[in-house]
Amino acid sequence: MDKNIILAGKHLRKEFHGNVVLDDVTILCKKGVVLALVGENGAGKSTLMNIISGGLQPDGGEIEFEGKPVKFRNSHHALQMGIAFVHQEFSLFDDLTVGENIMLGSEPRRSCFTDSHALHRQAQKVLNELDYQIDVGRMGGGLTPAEQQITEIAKAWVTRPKVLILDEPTSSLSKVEVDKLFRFIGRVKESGVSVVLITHRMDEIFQVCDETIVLKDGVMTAVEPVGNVTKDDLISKMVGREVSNTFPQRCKSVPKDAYFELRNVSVGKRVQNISLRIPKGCVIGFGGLEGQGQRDLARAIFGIEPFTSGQVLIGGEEKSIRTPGAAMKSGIGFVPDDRKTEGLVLPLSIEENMSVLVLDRIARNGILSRKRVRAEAQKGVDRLRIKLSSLKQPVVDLSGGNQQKVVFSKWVTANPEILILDEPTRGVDVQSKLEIYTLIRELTSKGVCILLFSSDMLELIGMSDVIHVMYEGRISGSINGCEATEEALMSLSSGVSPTVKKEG
Amino acid sequence: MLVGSVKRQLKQAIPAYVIWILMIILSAVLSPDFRSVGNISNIILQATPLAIVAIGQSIILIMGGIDMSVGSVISFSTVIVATASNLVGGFGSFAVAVLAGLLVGIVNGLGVVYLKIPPLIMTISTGAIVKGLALLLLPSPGGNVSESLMSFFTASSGCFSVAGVFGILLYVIVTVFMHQTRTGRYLYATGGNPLHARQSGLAYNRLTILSYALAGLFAALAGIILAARSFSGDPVIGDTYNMDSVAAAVVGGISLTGGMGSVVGAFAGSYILAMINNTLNMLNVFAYYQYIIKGLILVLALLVFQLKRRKKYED
Repeated sequence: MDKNIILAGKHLRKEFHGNVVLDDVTILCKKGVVLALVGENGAGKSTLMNIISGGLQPDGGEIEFEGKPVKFRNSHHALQMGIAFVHQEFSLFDDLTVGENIMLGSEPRRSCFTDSHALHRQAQKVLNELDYQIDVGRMGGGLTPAEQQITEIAKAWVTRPKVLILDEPTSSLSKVEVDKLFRFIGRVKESGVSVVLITHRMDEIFQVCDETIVLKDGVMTAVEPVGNVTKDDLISKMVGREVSNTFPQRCKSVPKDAYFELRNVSVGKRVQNISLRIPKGCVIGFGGLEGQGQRDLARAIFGIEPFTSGQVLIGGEEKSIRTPGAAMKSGIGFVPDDRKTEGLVLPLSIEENMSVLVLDRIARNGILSRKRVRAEAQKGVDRLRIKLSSLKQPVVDLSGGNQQKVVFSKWVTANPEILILDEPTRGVDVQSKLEIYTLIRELTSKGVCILLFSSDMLELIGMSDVIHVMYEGRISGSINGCEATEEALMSLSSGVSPTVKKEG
Repeated sequence: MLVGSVKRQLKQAIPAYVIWILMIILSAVLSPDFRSVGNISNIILQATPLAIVAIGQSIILIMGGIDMSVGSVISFSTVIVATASNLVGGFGSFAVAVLAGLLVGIVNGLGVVYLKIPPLIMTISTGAIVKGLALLLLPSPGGNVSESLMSFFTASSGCFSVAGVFGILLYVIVTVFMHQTRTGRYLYATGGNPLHARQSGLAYNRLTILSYALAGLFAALAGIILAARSFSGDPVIGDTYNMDSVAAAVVGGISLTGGMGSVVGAFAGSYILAMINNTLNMLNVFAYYQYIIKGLILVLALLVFQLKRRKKYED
């Protein structure tokens, strides 16, 4: 028995409603080793992590902790044993401070009362270990996604786990923050903790990980030290075939006259005086660091929190878009970044979710026909190859990538003229990404304007005709998609050279 | 001195205290009758049972539930005190009433947690059952409250009766409990976001059952004090307390959606409602109008806090 193995899941098997989602998977978490867990969405990564952290019970196989077989009653039990799982979805409390959130469950006490001063001091210390500055007295509800992510990690780290599982911790972090996090992971590893990192970003694996496990459709396709594999190896093992070019060809001819126009629009101080002219059939990318006003711009265009000044013109006509309803009437669609709370009605079925925007069209004299609802949904499923067992399945049972496809499909069914995509591929696997990209191209060839808000620079470069980089609520520079490089985007993102203007 | 979310929670109670103090000043200036010792002790007498039920209701609201059975529990408790005194003595009947209140609360909690019945429906149902039991035991007001129990709670000096001081003491204990213990913090967390509370490994089931049990307990205590005051049991006396306890909590700055506010606010809320009643009575306003006015105050309070919270996290 290898003494370095802290936690081992052997020959694990899990079924949901007769679907085998995990079959004979063995995972070994070793002292001082960073293990990368990769695979498409729906490959079983989250299920596997939930099993070894007590959130789910396996249907087969066994779990050993420090050499002895264990059965975790629940995730709380596993946490007490020293297995901390930072979920991809945040679970912070809006009305508790950052400090209280971090220390939840391990509050310092003086006799039977909590000691708030000690609590916030200790929380500050943990954040210092992460080398990240957040005021511990701030409320959880006012944090940016990046700050939430860091707080979540601090919350897990404060329990001094022996195994630290991080599910896509970098998806909402900027480059600088990712580097800090990786240095932290390095220090954690030195101290003998086993780290499991779930990620979709290949570069990260080679940056911090020692070993990789690849899952495909619930089966392990590879377990290797990182030194032995290349990026392409991993991708081909994840999807089971070679992927040569992730981004579909962009079309050549782009009309010149603007269809959608923003004139000096602002949202308070978060978006300031932005003017854009967007022709039909274009993909316009919006990049920049986290929280530079991109989200506010996207939401303002769709009327969620409307512009405070400026004009919006569609097809040369001025439109007043104060609500999402008005935006939809003007032909604008919006795929939000937070699909769980904004994009889907989780307990409803796939077909109900997909048809929700076009009920008027499907209904006859106000009465819905089940058959037509199903037909409409089936079209969407076929278009994006959504993995499902039935159209009646509640979307809550789908994997993240498939959920995103449902949201996407819902909007495509509504035939928008302008489609806003806010982080359309965040937390989505390679294969689904490719399908979403192909769909974006199909839409633009039909003349749809796509506004792509993304923190994934490669995605922006690969997809956009023009990329606008935002910095502190303004556009700090615009680059033609064909000429854009990661370096150029980075320097604009950090506000270094706001003079670069090469719009084509 | 205060650090963390406590400050924020306590802040929610400030408007209620401001309003309360303004009301006191205004009444004192306008009406000489108001300043009399008799009237002030009368207000305390009226406000105390409400203030005590409102403690339990506030805990439940903060935890994210609602308890519509407290009214029936109050009635039931007065009935127990009025009928059991002969059998088990004054303080024996006190204990039986408290246990009965706890039991109803625990049943509410179990139903909400394990049968997954929405709190509103669950507590209305148990409330109906308990009201039926109260009417069975004592169909019309009356009965026999123990002399010792009565003289204990109604003993007073100046404006302050034992019952009034007892109410204040309960507020002190529960306020410290809610803000300065782990369990209190977890109740806030559960109300703030039940899903996240479960994911964070908080004992959601136990916390829920605990808060309903406490609501039952405080309702029973309120009933005992009412019985001691009126020297009788009454199977319907508690009916108005369902709405009034929610109103007191909401006027005191506690959010109906959970996780926000402080029990301290419910104290001011209770006195505000009691003083409105008192004033309307002194002005000889017909009882039916009093309902309408109370309803309007509740809507107004909800509206004010709603508007305030919309800007919650914007700096």
